[in-house]
Amino acid sequence: MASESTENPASLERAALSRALAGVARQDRAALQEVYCRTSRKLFGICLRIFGERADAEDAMQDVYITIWNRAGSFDPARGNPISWLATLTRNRAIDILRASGRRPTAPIELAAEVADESPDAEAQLVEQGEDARINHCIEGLAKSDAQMIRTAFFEGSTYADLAARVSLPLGTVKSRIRRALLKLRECLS
Amino acid sequence: MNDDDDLLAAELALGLIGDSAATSRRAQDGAFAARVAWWEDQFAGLTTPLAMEPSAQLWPRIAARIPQNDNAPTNVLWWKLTSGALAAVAAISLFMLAQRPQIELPPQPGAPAVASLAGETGSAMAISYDSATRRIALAPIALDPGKGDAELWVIPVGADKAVSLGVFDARKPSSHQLNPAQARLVAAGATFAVSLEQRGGSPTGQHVGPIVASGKMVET
Repeated sequence: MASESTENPASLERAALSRALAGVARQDRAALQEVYCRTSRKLFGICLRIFGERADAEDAMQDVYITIWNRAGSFDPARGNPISWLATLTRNRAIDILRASGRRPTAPIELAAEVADESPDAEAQLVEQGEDARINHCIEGLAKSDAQMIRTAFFEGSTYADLAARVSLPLGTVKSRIRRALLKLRECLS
Repeated sequence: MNDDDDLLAAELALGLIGDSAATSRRAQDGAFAARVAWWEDQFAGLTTPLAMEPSAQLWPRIAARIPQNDNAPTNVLWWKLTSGALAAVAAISLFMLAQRPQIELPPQPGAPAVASLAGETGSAMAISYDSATRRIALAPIALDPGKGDAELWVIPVGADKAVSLGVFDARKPSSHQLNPAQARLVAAGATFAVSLEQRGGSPTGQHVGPIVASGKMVET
């Protein structure tokens, strides 16, 4: 069998996943199964982070893969990374389900002290061991409280209004802090 | 794009605003949509560290909700009927699939044949086969051979005897090339099955361990 060792595993994986998604777009069940095989651990990790309970996360996963089945045709391999596309689809679908169930988290959040911590948190340490995404480095450069609000918006589906209520700050303050943080993120990411 | 527009794209990507005006702008303004997609890709990176194994029952539940193709029934009666005759076909050279597993799943020039194997215990496997190149790709799911090996079998169209195609890595997708004798057995309508065997595969030329998944090959 021919060897593909000259290509790096991450780009091979992306190419294989793009091909499988093209198969799903043709309504090929075996292709969906291959997508599942390659992505279920990662996508389940996202659902579990959002729901906190395995049973809820697995229910959401069923919806996620049905959504992939229905929407694979809208993925354009020329424009995007299939893994990011799937992660975004999963996060958005999970947040939709969370919102529809009326269980969006509303508990107060105590914002971290402004001073950035020198020691990377557990999540950051995990990233260092594996394949990194630049945002995980960039977000560490923000004030911890701003990073915390952005993570909360992403993983808990909190809007500006939700965040303002949860951190007990005026809406305008929360908006301007997050917008400043987003510009700083963009500078680091670009 | 000015900062305000780009921030709006970021806010939409992050779900900070439930703004229908921004949502419809995304549908109509290509440049804006591209920025929302850029931000979504960036935020997707926040999920990089996350990974967790779902239960083995999840895939069968998903599979039950999508349209069926020609998937073989999960009962294994035919195995019981035919297993006694298997030694006769063992003379066909057996190619041990596990010797050269490969990460790449094959590209599919032309129309590949596929099979979706499932079983009652939640084990499953997707198979894709390209007759032009004789390459077969295996994507196992929740297949646990314990200390032994998973072995792939094929019952050719019109035959009632199963032939081993060899053992394979049950823990990750792999791709293999069939030899010409094996390739003659694999075509649309053939039935595949996976059994769990001792290390190295069944020594008898017929399956000894349980059949955990089976399914029919169809043309795509």
